[in-house]
Amino acid sequence: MKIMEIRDLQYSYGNLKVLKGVDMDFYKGVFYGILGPNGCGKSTLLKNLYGYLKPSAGTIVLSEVNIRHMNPRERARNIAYVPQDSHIGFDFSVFDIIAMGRNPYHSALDNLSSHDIEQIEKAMKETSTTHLRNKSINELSGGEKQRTLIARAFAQDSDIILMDEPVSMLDINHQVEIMDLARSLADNMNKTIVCVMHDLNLAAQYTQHIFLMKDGVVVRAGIPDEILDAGIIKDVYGADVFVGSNEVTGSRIVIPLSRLNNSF
Amino acid sequence: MRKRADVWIYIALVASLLAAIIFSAGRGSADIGFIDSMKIILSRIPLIGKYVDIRNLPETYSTIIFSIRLPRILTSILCGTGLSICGVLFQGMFRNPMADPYILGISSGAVLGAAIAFVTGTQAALFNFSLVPIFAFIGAIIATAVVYMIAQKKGNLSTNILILSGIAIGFLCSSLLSLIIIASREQAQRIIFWTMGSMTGSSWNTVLVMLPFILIGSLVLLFNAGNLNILSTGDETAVSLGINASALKKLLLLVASLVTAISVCFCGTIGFVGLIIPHAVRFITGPDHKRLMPISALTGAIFLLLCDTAARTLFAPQEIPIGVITSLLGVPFFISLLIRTKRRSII
Repeated sequence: MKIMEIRDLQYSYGNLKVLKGVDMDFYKGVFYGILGPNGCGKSTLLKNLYGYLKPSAGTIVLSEVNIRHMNPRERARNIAYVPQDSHIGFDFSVFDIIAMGRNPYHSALDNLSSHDIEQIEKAMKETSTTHLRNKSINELSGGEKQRTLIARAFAQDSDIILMDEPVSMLDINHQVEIMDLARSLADNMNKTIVCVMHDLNLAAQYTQHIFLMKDGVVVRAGIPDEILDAGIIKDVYGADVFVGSNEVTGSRIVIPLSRLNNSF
Repeated sequence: MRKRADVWIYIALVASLLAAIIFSAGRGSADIGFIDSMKIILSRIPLIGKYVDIRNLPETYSTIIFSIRLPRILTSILCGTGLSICGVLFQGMFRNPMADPYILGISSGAVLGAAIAFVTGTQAALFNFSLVPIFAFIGAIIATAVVYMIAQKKGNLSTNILILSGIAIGFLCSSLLSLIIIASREQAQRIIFWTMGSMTGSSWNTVLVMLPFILIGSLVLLFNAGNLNILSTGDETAVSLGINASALKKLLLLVASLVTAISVCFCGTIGFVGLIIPHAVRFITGPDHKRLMPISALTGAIFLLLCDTAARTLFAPQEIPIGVITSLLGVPFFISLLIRTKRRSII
């Protein structure tokens, strides 16, 4: 089922045109990767989707409703966001942070309803953060923090969860943990995950569909096996890579090649 | 569980505030004493009043308490409440533990505005309403806007630049103020009073003018405590959780500038209250603004009342400007905060 449609989306920071007409379709329960070199407009695209930036032109349609006609709370009930910079200055508890995910459902003065609490408990269970509930967000490890922020997005009970490089700060073990969690939300909870990523191998392993961006437009879209091709990557990133097949997982494997002449 | 503990905190704070009021009402050149002072105040409270016998106390005591001390006490309470909640707001909204109306240059902007109204003669009543508070408000708004614009970068606020630009704007306003003081010798005294802070000018009139502003300001901020929690985790997050962050920030800044301006108008610049109180309270309550806001308001009221009582009684009959006392307490606190932040960032 198609859940979100982006047509000719444009955005400029002042005179600098960052998005130059992006077209994308998203379906329910699919894990999408958005890839592309630095500055290609990936993060700007996400900011337009969750409403932090207003598109200069083009449309974003969520289940037949143009996002422009939704109020912020309505939009937040449809799209959740897991930020990249997870620095939270104050010592909120994990529970408090996750409970913020319920904000789009009640007014400023309401206390949490029993339904809210249910959703929060469910989010904690799904992300294995229940045991952290009373800990301060600032006491957590990188992986735990990321799980908490994913739990908040899950508590938001939206069909779509956006993630901005959720594992770029994590070690390899926690990268796998978070990517597993994200993929399971798509597979088991029918969430549409839209994940901006840098690591081509993680993209190969976890995503079901890739949008490859360059200079503010989508240059390629398709399943990872089609997109992760040495020629395409050379075109888009300008890097020489060797693309093989991972014998364990069967997914593509991308190995960057050094520009030094066999110096090691 | 937390809720039940909070009830006791509120009971303790309200009791302390009442005790502080009675204590302060008794202190001064005419030393009335706690019990007598309590009797005199109770005697004017409807329903209870008729059971309190104050016939054996001098008539003048009653006059001193009701005409002189009580208005001043209430002014201190309103001012302490206002500055504290503004401090809570600025620290939460700017995600900066060192923000307060004084450090952000907003108080100085308000004084400058007030002084301009004062010396240019615009203090002449317009529709029976002094222009001084309006100019103070405009000064506060301009200072807030300038500091905010300097610190803003692509929709994000740089916290260091925020503090530095606040200090710079504060200096600029102080310099302009010095010029005004030099240029207008006759009114210099009144302006200097503003720069150091004092409750000397307070009357029942002061209380009546301040009350609605502080009350409505407090209610708006209190109403937004939940939103402020989310805002304090970052603008982008707030937007993704369905909050119109830029509109909310503008509203809250407007309210805080108004509360700051009205406090400055009647009490002058009183530094560090908005810094110390939210911090000390956050130690106990944690960062939840739904608790932090009301508890800071009460604590700030008690704190400033005690500071003012000290200001008028420590070296009586000579008064110490209250700003001097709060700065003496606040600066060591501020420095210890800087050192703690420094350690944190090194680790």
